Amino acid sequence: MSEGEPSQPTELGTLRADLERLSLKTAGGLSRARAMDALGRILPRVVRALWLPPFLGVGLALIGVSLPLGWLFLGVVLLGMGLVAWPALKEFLRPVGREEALAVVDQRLSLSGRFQTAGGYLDHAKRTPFIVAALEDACAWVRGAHGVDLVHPIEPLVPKRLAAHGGRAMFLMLVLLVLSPGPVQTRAQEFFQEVQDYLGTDEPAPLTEVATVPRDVPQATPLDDVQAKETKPAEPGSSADDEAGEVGEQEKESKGSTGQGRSAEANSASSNSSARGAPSDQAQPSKQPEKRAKKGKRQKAKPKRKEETRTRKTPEMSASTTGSGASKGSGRNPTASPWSSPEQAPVPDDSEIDEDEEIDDDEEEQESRGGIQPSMRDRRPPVSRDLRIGFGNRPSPDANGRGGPSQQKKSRGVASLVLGVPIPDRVKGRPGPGRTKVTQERVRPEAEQAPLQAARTGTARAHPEGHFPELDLDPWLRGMVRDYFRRLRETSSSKPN
Amino acid sequence: MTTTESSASAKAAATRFREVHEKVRTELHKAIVGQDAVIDSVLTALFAGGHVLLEGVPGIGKTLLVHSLGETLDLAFSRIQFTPDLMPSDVRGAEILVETQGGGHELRFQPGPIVSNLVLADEINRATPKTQSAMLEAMQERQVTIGERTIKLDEPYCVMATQNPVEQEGTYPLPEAQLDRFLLKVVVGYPKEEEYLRILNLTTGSTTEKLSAVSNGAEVLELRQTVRDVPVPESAQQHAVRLVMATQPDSEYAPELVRNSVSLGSSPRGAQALILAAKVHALLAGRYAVAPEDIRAVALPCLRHRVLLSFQGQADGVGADQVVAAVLEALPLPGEGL
Repeated sequence: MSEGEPSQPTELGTLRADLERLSLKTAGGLSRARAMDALGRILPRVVRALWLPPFLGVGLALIGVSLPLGWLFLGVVLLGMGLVAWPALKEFLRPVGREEALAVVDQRLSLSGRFQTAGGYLDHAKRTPFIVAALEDACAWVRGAHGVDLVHPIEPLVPKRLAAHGGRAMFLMLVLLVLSPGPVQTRAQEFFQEVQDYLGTDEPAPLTEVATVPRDVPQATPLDDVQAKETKPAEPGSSADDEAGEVGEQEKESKGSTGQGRSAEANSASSNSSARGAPSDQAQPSKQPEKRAKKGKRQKAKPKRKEETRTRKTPEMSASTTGSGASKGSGRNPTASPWSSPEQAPVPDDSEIDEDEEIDDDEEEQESRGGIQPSMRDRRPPVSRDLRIGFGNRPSPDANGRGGPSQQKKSRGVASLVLGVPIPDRVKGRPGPGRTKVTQERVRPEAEQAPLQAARTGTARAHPEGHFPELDLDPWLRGMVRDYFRRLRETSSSKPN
Repeated sequence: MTTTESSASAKAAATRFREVHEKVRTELHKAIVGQDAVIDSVLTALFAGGHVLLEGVPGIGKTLLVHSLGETLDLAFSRIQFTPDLMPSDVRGAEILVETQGGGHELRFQPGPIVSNLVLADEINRATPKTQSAMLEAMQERQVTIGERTIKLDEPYCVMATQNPVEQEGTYPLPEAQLDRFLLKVVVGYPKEEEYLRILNLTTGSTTEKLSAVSNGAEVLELRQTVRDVPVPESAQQHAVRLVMATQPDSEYAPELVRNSVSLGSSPRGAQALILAAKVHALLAGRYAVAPEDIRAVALPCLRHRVLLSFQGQADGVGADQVVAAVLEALPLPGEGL
């Protein structure tokens, strides 16, 4: 049916029923079409989402984590169905009004709003001649509209390519489902099980047992790390020389030659000489490794103390150890009483340990300044120091303010750079020249003699200039000007009218 | 009067409208070659009771069209050639000093060319805005006030103005208030190749085609009444209102282009223009009520001069026609796309 073919006119009385029937018929089709349209919009996304479970399963399997693929697949399918069904249902249930339905019929049949107009004017109280004519005009078309199929063309919901995608995804999913083992215990679960088994024994392993743990055991877990820190006898990376040095020092300690049992003052006063004198038979290339070794030994000694307190109930086992560093730098004499007796065993004190470290740091600082310096803690005033200014009003000839009755000391080194050293001023000129004085004289102005300047002669243009062509700016210049004015407009508060 | 009788009168009026329209159109084509859309728009403005602004480069028959229309409709016709030195009194008229028979002098009112039925304001944008504004009262209220004298203008009254594109030198853009008073703005383009041949034959020969009056002022007034009688259903009204609102940058219906490029949108006068022009369009299409399609068909000439582009829009090279097209695209017909 086209616009140029109206059917036989019907009565105005039946127009209402005809339009009602037409709108109901169209509304049903419209709801279905909308629902299908919503399906068509969402379904491709859901089909694409079907690739997610297989890819997720394969990806996680590659990194050693297995998922219940069946459940995942089922979840995605159910979620997708929900996502598809809800909008479609919403569109299907959305009410379609008569006017809307008639507008659709007008569009379908190219009636230029005839039915919509008739539907609007059917209940109009005051019908003008033109309204009646419009209603009659609609009557001429309504009969023909009943015979026309108003079903909306429904396009395939999922394009073929997309459907193939979905099929492939489902096939891959099925293959994975078949190939995957039944109940899978994840690696993480295994690991936690192992950890729990391991932690099942409350007591820590004995020291000797821990010491016999092979050093090349990989430190796989943080827990192992902690264990190793607690029971580590020596760093695996430390060299054999260190071990030899340790043994040597243990021997020295037993002889009392390492000076570790001395007081802090004594240690600070003579540590340098002892530090340098002791290694004469050890052929150490420099003092730095020695220092590092000493520090390492100190650090190692701390856990040892803890172990000792933990294992002092088994003296027969710890008898093989040397007991080095038990009272290092603490001012107590470890040899005064047998260390192995539980009553006399010193309780490790953190404050003492800190004090030790402070002294060591001082030594390090002094050494790092470029040489051994005398300890500043025990410095005393010089024997003779004359700081007197003078005798009465007369200045003392010997006083130099720098301690000691001696001549003026030459400055050298850093002291020479300090601004306190007088430097002769070499800037020439008169300091403070004073105000500028201007003298004014009352003089009568006189005319100067000068040649007259001839005016420029201008002539009229021979030909009219004509129309200037419109200035055609280069694109870049036009863009720049446009941007400038646009920014100018944006910043200005008033909007152009 | 029964229903059948009343509808018959409406149908007869509509039929007569189409017949007269066709007669005038045919007569105009004797002088104007081609330009069907332009002639339809001019007649639409005339029968809808509005004024029309014809824009185009010189030499494409704008003045000839309006002149021919005056002859065809047998209406009082006057022409004002707008120049930069034209004064408002030259347009509206003024009181001039005349000598009486007894040797005395008196002030006598001399009406200007604006007092007529069909006024051709030729090259209206060559006059200053001051003079352009002299036509505002006449166009909107169909009266002219000079001093204490107010002259009612005879109906049908129609101002048909021509203007060169505003980019030309020596032109003053029309004020928005005056632009808004034109029902339609019609852009007159160049003729087609075959039309050129007919134009040459028509205008360079020894004989000139005489136009005859096929209608008159009274008939035009009757046809205007017929146009006013055409009903506009609510759906069409709503569509017209939304179209107008969509040209306003702050409206919820405004598309992106309008928001970015339009400074001022159409006023309610734009919606009135849409409805009136759509009524003529519906009658010419053989219908007795306005449909949304009619609104859309006349949207471009009705709205293009009511859209004021912003500085950004001008800088981006956006035209008013583009804006109206974007509005039409943003607002589909009722029932479309479902």
